[in-house]
Amino acid sequence: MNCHSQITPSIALLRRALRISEVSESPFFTLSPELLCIAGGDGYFRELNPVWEKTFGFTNSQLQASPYTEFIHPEDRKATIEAIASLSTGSQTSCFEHCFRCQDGSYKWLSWKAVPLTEGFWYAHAHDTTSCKQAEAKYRSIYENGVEGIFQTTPDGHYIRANPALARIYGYASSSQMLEALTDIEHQLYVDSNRRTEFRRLLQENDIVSDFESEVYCQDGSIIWISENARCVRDEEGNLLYYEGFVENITERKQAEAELEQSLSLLRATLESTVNGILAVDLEGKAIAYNQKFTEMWDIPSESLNQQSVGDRLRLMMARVKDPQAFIAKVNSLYDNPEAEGYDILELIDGSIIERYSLPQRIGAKIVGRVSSFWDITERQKIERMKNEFVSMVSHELRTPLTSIRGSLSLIVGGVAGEIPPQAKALVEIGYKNSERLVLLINDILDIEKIESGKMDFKMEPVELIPLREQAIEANIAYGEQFGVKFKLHNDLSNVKVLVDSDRLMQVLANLLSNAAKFSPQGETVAIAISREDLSIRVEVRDRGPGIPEAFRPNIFQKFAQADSSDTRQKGGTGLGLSISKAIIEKLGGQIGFETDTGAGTTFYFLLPKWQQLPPLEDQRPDPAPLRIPICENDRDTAKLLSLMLSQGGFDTDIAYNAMEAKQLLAQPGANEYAAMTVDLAMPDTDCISLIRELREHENFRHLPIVVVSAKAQQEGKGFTGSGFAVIDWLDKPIDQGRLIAAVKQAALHRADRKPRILHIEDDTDLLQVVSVIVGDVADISHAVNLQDAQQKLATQTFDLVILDLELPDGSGWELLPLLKCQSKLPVPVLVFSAQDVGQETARKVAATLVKSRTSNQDLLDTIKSLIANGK
Amino acid sequence: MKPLTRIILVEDDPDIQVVARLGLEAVGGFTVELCSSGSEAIASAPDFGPDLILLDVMMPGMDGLSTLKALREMPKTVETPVMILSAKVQTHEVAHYQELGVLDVISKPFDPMTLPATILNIWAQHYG
Repeated sequence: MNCHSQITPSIALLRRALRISEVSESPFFTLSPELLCIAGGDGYFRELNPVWEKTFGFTNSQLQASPYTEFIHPEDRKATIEAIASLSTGSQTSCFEHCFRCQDGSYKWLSWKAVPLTEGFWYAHAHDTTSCKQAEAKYRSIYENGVEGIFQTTPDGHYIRANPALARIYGYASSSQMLEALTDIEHQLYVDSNRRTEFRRLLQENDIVSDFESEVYCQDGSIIWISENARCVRDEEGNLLYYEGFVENITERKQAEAELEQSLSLLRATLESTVNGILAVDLEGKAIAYNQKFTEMWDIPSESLNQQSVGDRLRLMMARVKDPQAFIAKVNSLYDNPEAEGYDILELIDGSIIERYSLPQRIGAKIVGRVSSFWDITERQKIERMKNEFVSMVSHELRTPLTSIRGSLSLIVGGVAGEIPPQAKALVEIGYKNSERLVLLINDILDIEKIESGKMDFKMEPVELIPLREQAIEANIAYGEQFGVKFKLHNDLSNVKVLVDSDRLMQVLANLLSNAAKFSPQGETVAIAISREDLSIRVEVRDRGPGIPEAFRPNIFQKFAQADSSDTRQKGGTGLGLSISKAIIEKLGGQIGFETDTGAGTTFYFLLPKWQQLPPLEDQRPDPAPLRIPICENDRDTAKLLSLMLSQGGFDTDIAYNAMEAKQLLAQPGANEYAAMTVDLAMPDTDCISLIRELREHENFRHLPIVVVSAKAQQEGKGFTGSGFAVIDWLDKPIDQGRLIAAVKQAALHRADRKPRILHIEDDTDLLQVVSVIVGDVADISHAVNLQDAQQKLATQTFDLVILDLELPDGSGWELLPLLKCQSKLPVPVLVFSAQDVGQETARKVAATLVKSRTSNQDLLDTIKSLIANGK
Repeated sequence: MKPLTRIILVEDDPDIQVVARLGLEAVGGFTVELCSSGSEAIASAPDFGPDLILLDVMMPGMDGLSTLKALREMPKTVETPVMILSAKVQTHEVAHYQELGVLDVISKPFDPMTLPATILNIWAQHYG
């Protein structure tokens, strides 16, 4: 360190002027910017120039009042005293360093040079080296503790120095171990030894290299990526002494880059390998990625797509479609609804048909753009149309000759053409039988085609199963007689309804019955049983036939699968029946299966979801204390009637003839045990609405299900705002007993033996998940993301509650209400959960409404619990 | 019950003509007038005075549905009951026939031995 060079002249001066006063009174002493002092052998400062006061904050008198060692850091005192002592033993100069205390208690580094004066005095100047010391400490800290490797190397490839971080990067235990092991940087370190040459060349030319990236070997032979920043260090004449610089381990960054490149190339390859045109845009509509197919399909110059404005691209696309207005309307609607899924069919001016499907692109939960795919379905549609025409044509063309073949044979067999010899008759019968089979085969093939193309219509309605089964048996008695087989009914269940298309279900039953008859030994019976299984109804057809061979079981529902191809001929049938039955049952929301025992027979069964039905009394959980219901009813006869009905339904009742009495009932101890309440709309002392409102404000009755009974429920209901109520149902007078008990049971009892089933209709999948988590413990949740999905689920399954979003991608949630409230089904409570507030008119239609943004999770859970009365 | 004895059968396929006619006459005991095309049916219907017209759909020239339309425009056949006898019996086709006001649809292949019974059953449902 060269801190002192600038004061050398003053030392020379001092050597000539040894008298204290000469020094202290000289202008040099007072005006020098350096710290100058004269101290005595007594250990006190004698003279101090003004710089001291400025530097340390003490007055010079304060500094002179104590021995100077007082101001020196305790650790440095000994060395300082020794250095000063050397002046009295003949040294001409003494240099030392120490920390000197400031007035505020901090220390400053001073570097001293002292010379002896007469009479034991000495003169010195000190230089404040604090900032140098700090920089040095910082450098040392970086060198020792930094994460970056620091090195000095000779041009010929030896290390002079390496810090611990560098040793760590290269996998050595210490710097010294590394310096010992690495003696030839060019060959030992670099994977490609040319890198060292390149490194030297760059330094030669520029004196500096930046971000010099190379692969290097670690101590254990593994390879890492490093980045070097280095410079040349030269002596005063400019001769190169060594290189020094920093090393950073960039292996992870390189891996990330490689992964990114990998996924980019994968994306590119994926984009180009698909037959669809693909376009990804950001939220402003700017093209982010697309494939060649897209530009070809829309006749857009591919190189300009990235630069093209959104408007230009859309103009080009609009020029290609037959209906540009519809095209742009759809595009705009998707910009307005970034979360929506988009689907439409576009007809281009050249006659091709494009299916457009798009989804939002999300990063985490945030939507950042949209990816659209364009599928040219021109060919597919053409083939579809051809297939339909073909099937229709084949059906007609085959039926026409068959009509005359079967007709002729039938007439001969029937004796219309007169008597024929027995041998001829037997042959004609063979022809007749096989023409019959051909007819069945054609019908089955058409059915399969219809099912597979989704064209089979299902007219779903609640159907009593017992009469349907009897009808099926009746229709098949004659068939069974051919095989000497009778059909027998088993364990009847009354009042079992399923939601099905009865014609299609008959088709399945006929198929199972005829199969059973075919495979039963002569004289045996086939048993048909209906039973209840959890939420389903199980229908089974049991035969005493040979059972299904094990090898054949996995294929039983496949097309044209019969255990033994000779069976087809022996037993008749088309080999399509079970395949059709399975498809039908699945379309009806059920399952089909079989149990078989070789030699003992086979049972084919199907399960259909039970149409929502009152649980019969024997199914109820034995409850020591029947649930209690207060009846608030103005008219005494009606009150009595209600009480009678409800007690038949298994409830205990209390009667209040006006609102005052109702409040008294509810004030009694134990009133919070009430399961539900019926309220008359017309009461003498107060109106029903006020009563309900009052109840809703009371903590105990906030969630009490209320059934409104009224002569004019429908009109008065319009007065309700909905927001404060959880009214389960509206009943009109005269009272429909079934509906009343159903409404109350639905509200209060609900299935003790299982979790209630909820259908949540919502297009926001995040919200679906949230609600699922909230109520997952108290209910089983099914999801529907659009109207169509919801309609299908509602048609095939039963639910205890429907949570309804009003704004769905394919229409308004209100469109479902007629389905939920249809006459033939029990009304399903609806919970509207939507971003929009509902009006009065709509509020009355539903059990409860919650507005999304104003609803806490607890509110939601409580409302649902109360609607399904799971808590009871 | 409204009497049913005289039937016009409109059918272009000669084999089916034979089979259907035998069934209707020999088994059912009806009086049958055979027409091989729609225009023949339109020509003979006013004189024959049928109780019922059995109408095929797929026929060369005037098809069954045009024939039906023409029959409905003639005063003498404007109300004559018509049944469709066709191989084109997919769900949407049947629905379409019924919209046009036919009594019912009998699908081909039919069994000539039971055809009269089938016809009488349908007849009874409407006029019984």
